[in-house]
Amino acid sequence: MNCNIVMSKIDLYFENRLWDTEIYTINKHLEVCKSCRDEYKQMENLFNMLSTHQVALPPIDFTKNVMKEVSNKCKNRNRFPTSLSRLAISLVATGILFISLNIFSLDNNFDRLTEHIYSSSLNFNQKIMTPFNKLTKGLDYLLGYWSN
Amino acid sequence: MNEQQLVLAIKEGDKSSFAQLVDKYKNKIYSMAYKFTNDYGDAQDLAQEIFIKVYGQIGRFQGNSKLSTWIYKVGINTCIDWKRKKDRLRETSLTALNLTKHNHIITNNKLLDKTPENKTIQDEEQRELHQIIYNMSEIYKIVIIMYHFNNMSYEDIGKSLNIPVKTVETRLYRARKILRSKLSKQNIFNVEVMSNEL
Repeated sequence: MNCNIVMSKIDLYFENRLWDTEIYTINKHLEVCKSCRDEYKQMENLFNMLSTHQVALPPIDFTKNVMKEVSNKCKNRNRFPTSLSRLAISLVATGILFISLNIFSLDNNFDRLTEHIYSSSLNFNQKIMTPFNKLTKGLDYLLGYWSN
Repeated sequence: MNEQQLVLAIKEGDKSSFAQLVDKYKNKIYSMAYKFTNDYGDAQDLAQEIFIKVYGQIGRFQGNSKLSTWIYKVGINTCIDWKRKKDRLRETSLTALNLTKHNHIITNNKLLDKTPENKTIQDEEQRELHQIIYNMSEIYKIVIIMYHFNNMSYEDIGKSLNIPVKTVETRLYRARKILRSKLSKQNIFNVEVMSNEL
């Protein structure tokens, strides 16, 4: 094994990702090659430094503070929107229920459904217009009475 | 309580289970945040933000990866966002105050040296290592944190960052090369190599 191959595998060597035969060959090479041995030592030091690197520890009350923040967030989120969203969900669900009942009452027949929607809208329109028609008739009658 | 039960309990709104999760991961998350902030107070805020995000997004966790992988992914993304916001803010303030980047870094280092909390990192070499990692570019810093400090596998890092395993390997290789070169420049390795030879 030459120096280039050893150096290309030195990371894998310290990550324990080499076969035993490769480790053996690298060890043999290191015994005789000073430049690779220096590289090896540098890498060994780096891995040691990284594995013993002192981690910055959070304060003792860290979990308590996080839980306090989580509770605050939950409170803020739940103040109004939950009741409102529940109401909205109920309304949408009721609407869906009515629509489904309408569809099922018409035996899933699309023509009948469209016909029903059309006639319903006409009925609805008529219901709105009836008082206006009566008012107009009443006004016509009054105008006729005054002109006479 | 295993990981699956813990997640289920949190999804059902059990806050004590979430407190357990925070306790389990707080050291790794805080340490990760510190590598991005280089300031204990900011690291605390950032780590807190990460856990709040974890709590808010736990409903989306489907169990396709390890819980730790998912948490570190949320953590890294939050740290990257924080760093970008901070950089933008710094650029704006630097332009406004007409300060050089060099002066700003020196001021920061001076401040850092004076803070009492900084005594936590007593070892000079470890502090140098921290500074080098802190100043590394994001792509290398992330793989170093994930592999060496969070003990994640290549596969898990790849999944977290949505990159192939081969890319993880290459980035780690380059990151270590940078670390070795910078540590050598600061004579940290030379001392250790000599002491090993003695």
